[in-house]
Amino acid sequence: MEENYSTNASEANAFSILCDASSLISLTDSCCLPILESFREKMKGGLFISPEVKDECIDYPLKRKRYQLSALRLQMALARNVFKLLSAKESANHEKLKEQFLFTANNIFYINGKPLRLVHGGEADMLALAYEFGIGNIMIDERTTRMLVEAPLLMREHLKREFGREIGLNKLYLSRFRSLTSNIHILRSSEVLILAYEKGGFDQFGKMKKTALEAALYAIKFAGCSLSFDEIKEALKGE
Amino acid sequence: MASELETLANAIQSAFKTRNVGALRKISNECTQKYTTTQNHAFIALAMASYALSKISGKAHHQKYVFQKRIAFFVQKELENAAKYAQEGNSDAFERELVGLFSKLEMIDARDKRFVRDLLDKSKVKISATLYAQGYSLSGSAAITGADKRELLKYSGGTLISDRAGKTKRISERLDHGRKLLN
Repeated sequence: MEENYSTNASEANAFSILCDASSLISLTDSCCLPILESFREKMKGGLFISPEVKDECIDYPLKRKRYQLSALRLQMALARNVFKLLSAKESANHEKLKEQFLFTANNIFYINGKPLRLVHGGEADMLALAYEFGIGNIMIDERTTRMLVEAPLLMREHLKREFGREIGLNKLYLSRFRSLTSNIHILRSSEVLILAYEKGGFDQFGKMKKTALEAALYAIKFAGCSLSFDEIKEALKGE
Repeated sequence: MASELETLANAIQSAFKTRNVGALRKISNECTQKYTTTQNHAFIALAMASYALSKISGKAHHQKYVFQKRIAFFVQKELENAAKYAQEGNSDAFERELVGLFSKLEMIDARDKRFVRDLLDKSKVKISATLYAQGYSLSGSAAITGADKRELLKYSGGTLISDRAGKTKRISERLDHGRKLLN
């Protein structure tokens, strides 16, 4: 595996977190990137991004005035090693594994006898990289992939409600997907903010630190993190 | 399938003729739903067209000028032709008509521009958000329409998508695991 990937692979482990574009975008857009940095300092493992996420969050938006500032912030964070690039060389194995994740995820549910292709290559790439490097955690603010990994049957119920018809279930692919993702835990940027708060990441706000946490949670929710209002209330009760 | 496309294209044409915003939105949702059951991208193009036309129909400034009225006439013609080609099962010609329709919508939008993001971009984001709410992944929903993922993420953050569905583990359970990752 290490032959296929050039850098940082040795630092990836079960305590590491692989960041998806959705969470980096919501953290950056809500000005919470410095909090991610303080969180990183307390971690046992590393914080990683894939080349695809780098392209999506840094390289491409750097060319667009509208998103340039956000891309620059992330580029600087990458330069400061807040997160590291899990650089995949051209690898037949990775592409094969990514295809396996994609095919499996997109054949779990059926509608009108046709597979519901819910997942895209970007999300499959994340899952495949985590699996391949033994990274135990993915930070993802997107909802569908999280639901598929954590509660696929709840996702089926949701699809039934949305489409108002029976959703077929392929138990073989469900079981395969579960087995492929059994060692992957999902965190959202919301949990990262709360954990950073517990470790003093909001201390700069003094007596207002709990208010600052609440504000940050609302900010990332409105920036796109799949977090409900009830969950924010539940989280604040516990802090 | 061709007849469903034809019916929906005709429905859009009738609703646009009377500037019926509500009906156009409803047809847009119906087209998005049809995409999932058929996996036919033509329904997504119709969904976007119907949504964009609903935006135009709802704005008085798009209806008072001769230029906009003239373009609207061509839009009607293109919808009529699209319905005809759908009925004939001529998918290439159907798509051509919709491409033509989108370029007319861009002309209307450009003539009286008030926002940085244009009408078609808004339509893409709106249809993608519907797909995301239904259960497609964020990247998947963006790829289906060609919407900008950042805009889609931001748009979805302003909706109740995450409140309606998505609760899996309790936040305390997730935090318990997260604490193990820290020194």
